[in-house]
Amino acid sequence: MVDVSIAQLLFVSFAIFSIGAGGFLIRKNAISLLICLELMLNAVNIAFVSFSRLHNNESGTVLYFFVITVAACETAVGLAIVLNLFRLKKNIRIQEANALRG
Amino acid sequence: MDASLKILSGVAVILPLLGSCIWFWAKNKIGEKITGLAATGTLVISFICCLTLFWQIESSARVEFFSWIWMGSSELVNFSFLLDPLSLALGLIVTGVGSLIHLYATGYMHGDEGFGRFFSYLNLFIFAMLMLIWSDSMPGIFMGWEGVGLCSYLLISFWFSDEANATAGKKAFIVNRVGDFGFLVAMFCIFKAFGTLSIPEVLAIVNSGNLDIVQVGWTQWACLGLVLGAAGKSAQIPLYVWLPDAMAGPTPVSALIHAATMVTAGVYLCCRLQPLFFLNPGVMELIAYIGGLTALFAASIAIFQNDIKKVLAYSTISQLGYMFLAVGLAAPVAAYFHLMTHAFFKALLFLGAGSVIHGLHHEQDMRKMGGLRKQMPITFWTMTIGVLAIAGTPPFAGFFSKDEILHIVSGSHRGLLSNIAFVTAFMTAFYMGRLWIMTFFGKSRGHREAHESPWSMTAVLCVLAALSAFGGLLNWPELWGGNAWLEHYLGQVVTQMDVGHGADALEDSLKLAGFSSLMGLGALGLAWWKYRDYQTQDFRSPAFNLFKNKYYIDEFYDAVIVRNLKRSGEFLWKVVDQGILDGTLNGLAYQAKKTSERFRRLQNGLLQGYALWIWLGVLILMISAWSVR
Amino acid sequence: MLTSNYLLLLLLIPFVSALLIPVLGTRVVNAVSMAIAGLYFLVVLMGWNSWNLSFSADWYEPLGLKYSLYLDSYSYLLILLSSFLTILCLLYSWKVVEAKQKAYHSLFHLLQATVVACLLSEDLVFFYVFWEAMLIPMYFIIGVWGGPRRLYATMKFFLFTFSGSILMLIGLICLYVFFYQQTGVWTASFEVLREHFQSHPLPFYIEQLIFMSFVVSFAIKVPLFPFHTWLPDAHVEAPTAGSVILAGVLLKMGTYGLMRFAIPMFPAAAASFATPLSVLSVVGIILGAVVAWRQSDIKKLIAYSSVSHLGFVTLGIFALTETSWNGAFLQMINHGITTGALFLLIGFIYDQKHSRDIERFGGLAKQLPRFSLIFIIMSLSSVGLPGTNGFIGEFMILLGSFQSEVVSKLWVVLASTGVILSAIYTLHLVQKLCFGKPAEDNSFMKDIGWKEYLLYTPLVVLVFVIGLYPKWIIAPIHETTSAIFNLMPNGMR
Repeated sequence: MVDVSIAQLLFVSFAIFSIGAGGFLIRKNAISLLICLELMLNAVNIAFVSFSRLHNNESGTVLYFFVITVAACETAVGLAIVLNLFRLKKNIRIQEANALRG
Repeated sequence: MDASLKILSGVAVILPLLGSCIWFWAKNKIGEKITGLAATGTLVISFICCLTLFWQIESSARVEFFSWIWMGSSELVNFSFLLDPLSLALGLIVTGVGSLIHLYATGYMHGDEGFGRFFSYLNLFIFAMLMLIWSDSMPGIFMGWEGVGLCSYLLISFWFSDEANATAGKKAFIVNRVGDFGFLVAMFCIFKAFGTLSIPEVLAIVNSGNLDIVQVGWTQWACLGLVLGAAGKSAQIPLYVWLPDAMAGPTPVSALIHAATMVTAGVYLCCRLQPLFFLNPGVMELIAYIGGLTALFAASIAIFQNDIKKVLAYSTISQLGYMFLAVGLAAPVAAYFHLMTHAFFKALLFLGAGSVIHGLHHEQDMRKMGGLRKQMPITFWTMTIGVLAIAGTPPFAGFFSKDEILHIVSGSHRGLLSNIAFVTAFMTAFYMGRLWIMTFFGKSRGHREAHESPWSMTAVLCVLAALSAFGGLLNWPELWGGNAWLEHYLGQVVTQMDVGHGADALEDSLKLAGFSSLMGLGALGLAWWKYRDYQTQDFRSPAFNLFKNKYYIDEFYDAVIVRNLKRSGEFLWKVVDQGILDGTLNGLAYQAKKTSERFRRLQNGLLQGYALWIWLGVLILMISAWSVR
Repeated sequence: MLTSNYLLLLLLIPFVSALLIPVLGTRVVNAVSMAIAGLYFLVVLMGWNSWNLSFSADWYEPLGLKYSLYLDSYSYLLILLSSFLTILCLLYSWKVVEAKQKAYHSLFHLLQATVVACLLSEDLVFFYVFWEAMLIPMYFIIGVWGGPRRLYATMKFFLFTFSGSILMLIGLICLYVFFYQQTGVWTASFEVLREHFQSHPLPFYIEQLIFMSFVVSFAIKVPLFPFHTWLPDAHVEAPTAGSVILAGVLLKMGTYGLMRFAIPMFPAAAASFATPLSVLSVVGIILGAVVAWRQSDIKKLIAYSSVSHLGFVTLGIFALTETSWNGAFLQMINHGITTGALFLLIGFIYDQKHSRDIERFGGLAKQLPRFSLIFIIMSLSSVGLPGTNGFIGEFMILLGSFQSEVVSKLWVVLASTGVILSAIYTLHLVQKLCFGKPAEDNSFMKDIGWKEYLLYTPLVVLVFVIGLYPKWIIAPIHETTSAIFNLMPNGMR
């Protein structure tokens, strides 16, 4: 087992989060957006777990379970929305889902 | 004693009011004849009440009914009457002449569809007039004052289907309201000065002489306000403009309201509050000059009028000017005397004119009359007496009253005023002669067959002619061996300036009387010479256009006051209200809307856009958190 | 003798009926609603001469808020007027308003309820709540049953009065907090606050600021120049009955607030602002009158005349004399009667002709003589002819103001010219409507019938009863006026 420092872990977390965030901002496909969202959440999860280990405190790990549950729910709802979006528009391009503009 | 006074005066006032409520609806139910006679009957009863009061009351009496305006503190205004020579004498005239004119109107208004309405208004007028002259408080007088104004309004616009009549009525009411404004302010000033509005109390304070300078100052404003009020009601300069237009009303109305009674209210008011005016000699002078100028001014217009009623209207203004002149020269008895005789002969003249108009089927233009002397003999003879009376020919009523005023003016050593008074007397005789000759002499000019009026009208003319002939007996001067009854009677409440008690007083007064009657006859002769065989010619010179057009006063008022008021109304509405006030607010609303319009664009519905904003926000937060540390 | 439960009765009847009416069957709504209104009027009438009742119960104790009710002759007379006008409005609307009857009747009762609550409340927060609540029913009455531009009018009405109320709220909170800071007790009771701040005055400029915050709020409701522009729009768009209540009751809440709360609370501040406020009143009198004259919409004309009449009322109030206050209060009631009647009369011809253009009538005196008679009587009352109610009020206001220490005589004299101007616009209206020849064929119009007689007779009777024997109504008014003036510092009397 290789001993990894907290800095390395946080770097991984940051990298994944950036990939997710960047993807979220530039992708057009709704499914990709959901995936990017998932990436960002998981990046945060990594950070949680890392700090949990660093401080020898279990609450970070507990939070990880919360997040992963919420993420699952969110993906389920998100996919349902995407499905309905497809039914409505015959595509899942996110730019066209702008009915809530002011 | 007191109870009987209460009942009598109450009945005299209330009956016409009740009547006015009844006749309005009654005509259709009980028919024209009964309505007319019943309306006249109520007035006759009122007259009898007045007469009884007149006999019963030695000098003066107060009759209290119930409290009216209770202002909260101790101040109270009652419905109560002050019955003294001033008010009783005028009360007799109002109800007496009023009854006669009611009788006349039953004939004149025969067949008019507003017959019941007419008598209703007429009775209401008598009620208001009695309130005016009998009330012992300023607000009570004001109630009558406005009440007669209302009746005048209703009666002028009696034939309201014609827009012109309605406009004339409106004009009368509004011009009167300008006067009423003066009256209101006068009331405020009197209350400020004396803390009461009851006339006996005010006069008691004034007569006691314990006034400080502040109170006198307030009375000056009060008097000015009262002069404005009196000028409005009595059609004096500058508020006389409504009276000529008021001739749009039925002729009995012109006779009763716009000649005999209502228009004299201003004179009455000045006499009633005489002590207050005595405190302010400047205001007295003002009244005298207003009166003198009005007399001359109106007489000069009257000469050029062709409408028979307009001539009489201007003549009324002119005669009222005489009364004001007398009031201003501290001769209220003379003013009152002229007021009474004027009530007789001017009512007679108006009713005579009405009879002519009635006979000619509502023709009022004198140029289309002529030669009526044969066709309407009674009207002719009674009118003749009226004309002689107003022209100041002895021994008719007008001679005595006018002579007294002339006597006082010439005794007052005001050269301008006495010249004006004499010139006006000459002009009066001239235009009355013109009216008389153009109507009754010469050849008939284009009117259809005329007929004499029914008995109800001619009988009234005869009674009034008798009064005009012998009315002078009321105040036969002591110098000429009379008993000057009116002077003694009114002397109980008003003070008359003394003129001519010197050694050659009798000689002077006879000279004056001779001169004035010769002048009157001369003017009549001049009129005879000028209009004897009048065809259609009148004065043609352009110089007379000014007189013919009544000095363009109406046009002047219209241009200066009415139009500017209209313009300011438009301005206040369109510019201030809609422009500035609403504009500011609508502008605010518009700006709010526009700003939100701008911010709205941020909400573009694109998910990624929002994410970008979140990202930026987090970034800013982080940077600021870091830099703060 | 009535007990304080009477106040609860006064308060609850209209609330309950507002809730009850929506569950009734459509057919009986009219009858039941009118019956309740009539009953309520009788209940109110029972309370004549038994004012000075009070009632108090906790509302939210930690903040010292109370359901605190107090009935004096001011509030009593306005409640009487309001219940009286409500009956007339409902009677008028019978067979005229056909749409959404349940909501309509319910809203009128709700309006009545909020007005009564406002008039009865002694606790300032309680007052404020219902002051705001009054807007809601009126908003819907104009917004639902109103004319074509009703959205604009309701919006304007709402925003104007609401922004005023916000100011009042700020002032109120200041008072409330200052009191807490000084005593450590939370209370919004008017009497307690008044007594406290009289004996422990705030810095004068703060008094002035708080006073002005109240005055602006009330002035918008009155409406005082320059806050009056909502009124013509609201009147023009409101249904007839809405106009009647608006003119007859809601506007009076503003002047009532001035007399009952703002001025007694800070008499010295009131005296210091007397001149500017009375000048605004005089401007309102003259502007209202002159602008009214130029209107071609009859309702707008009457709305502007309201501005003019209420200018007299506010002049009387700011003159700070007992006589002018008595007159001002009387004039509030007179205005309710007279202008209410005029709106009802205009509504009557509008319902037949569907036009309010002054140029399209004429000659009604021949065609509708009974209508014209009543219309002319009411116009004369509006002009202030002696013998009618209008004169008494105007006369007392002007006479009282002329004696005032704080208002210059010049302004009173200028205000008196309103007498001339009111004659101008009113007679203009009468002439255009009743005299002359008909401008168009109006032969289809009917004269008033028994229902209208029922409506107008009491109003006409009141015009003359108050005009000829006003003592019965001035006496109770004076009771409260003198009570208020007795509590003011000596220099004010």
